[in-house]
Amino acid sequence: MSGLKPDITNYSSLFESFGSHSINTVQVSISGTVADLSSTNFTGVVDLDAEEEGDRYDVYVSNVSNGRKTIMNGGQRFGSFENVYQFKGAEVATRIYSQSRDVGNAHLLITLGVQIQNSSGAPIALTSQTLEFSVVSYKAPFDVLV
Amino acid sequence: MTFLWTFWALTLRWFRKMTDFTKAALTTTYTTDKIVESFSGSFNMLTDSTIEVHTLGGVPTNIYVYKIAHGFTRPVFCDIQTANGAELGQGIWREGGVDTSNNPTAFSDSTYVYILLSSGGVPPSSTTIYYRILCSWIDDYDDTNPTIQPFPEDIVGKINRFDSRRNYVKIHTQSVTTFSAGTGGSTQDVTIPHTVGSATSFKVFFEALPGRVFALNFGGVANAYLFDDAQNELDAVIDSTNLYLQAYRFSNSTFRAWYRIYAE
Repeated sequence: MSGLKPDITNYSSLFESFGSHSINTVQVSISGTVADLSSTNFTGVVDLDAEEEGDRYDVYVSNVSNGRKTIMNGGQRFGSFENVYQFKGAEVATRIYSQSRDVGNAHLLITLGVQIQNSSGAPIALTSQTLEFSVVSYKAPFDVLV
Repeated sequence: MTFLWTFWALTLRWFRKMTDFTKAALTTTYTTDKIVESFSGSFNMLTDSTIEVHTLGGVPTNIYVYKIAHGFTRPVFCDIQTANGAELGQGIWREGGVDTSNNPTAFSDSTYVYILLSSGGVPPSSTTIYYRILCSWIDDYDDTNPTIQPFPEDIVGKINRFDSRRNYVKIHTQSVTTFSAGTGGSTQDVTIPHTVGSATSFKVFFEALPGRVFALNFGGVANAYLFDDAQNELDAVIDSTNLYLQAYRFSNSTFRAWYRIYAE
């Protein structure tokens, strides 16, 4: 069994992973100025069927108005938000909690923190923006640590 | 009578063969991510003897580096989840690079997978870090096409089968692009057309440092993603027609980025 190339035909060398059992979205709207948005938090609940401990997620954030989307799992922070949402120096952050579940109706709870960075110190006015967070969930073969 | 028995025996044999799912094969038009290894465990951020501490000029927080030998001869893509003790007790796992509080990230070179944390993201008082890392194969890293060792099938919790009931994430387009050398944060843009027809999911990994393959790391300072003044940064955004890559060059050497655009 040794020496297999990592090819899909040799699936014994692969995990039952990256099996996407759902792609779900949640939308939030933001508007205001730097001062009143600097620590705004939103909470979104994404329903995931059959969500289990050991699953992992990729979280993407989109600007609904221009259809541009980026992944949040990289280290992308300040600048990428500027590119995507076209207002200066803004940052959007997500923190994922997967422990919140209803029986038979698993939830993925996402706390969205929207922070604005203003290097010049001047207030920045934001028009209403709608952000869409899409979550791709995967079956992951990790051992469960308890 | 003999004919009937023969017919019945053949039918039974066929039925057994058709219901022997260990013989089932999987084929698909698209390839998938090739997971070649996973790591899970824990370490103590302050007392583990293998921890390396780095500082970046002007950065008040230390960058902690924990490394794991991956057993391959070239880098792999890394996806990481981490938790501290309190989070683990609540069933919380952080996806790498998600949070503002300097979430850990992971990268690899030809020998090791590295976990990066900063003291700003994880208070030193919460020093036990639990990690889970998936490593996937870089198809077009070089021409060596080395063989790999398959997973032993008797490791508890590692299931080495595909399940046709699941909708696997399929790679629509994947390739590599090379950025030219640059310094001082000079930018270079690369636009990659795609035909998926929507702002689909994607992933990009790149050489932030020579021979070291990172996830996207663009923006910010004093975090675990940026621990070296010569580290390139990369930003990526997708829409319904293109994947846009923007590099901020610091290394003064050419570097590559591998992208995967998924069919959802």
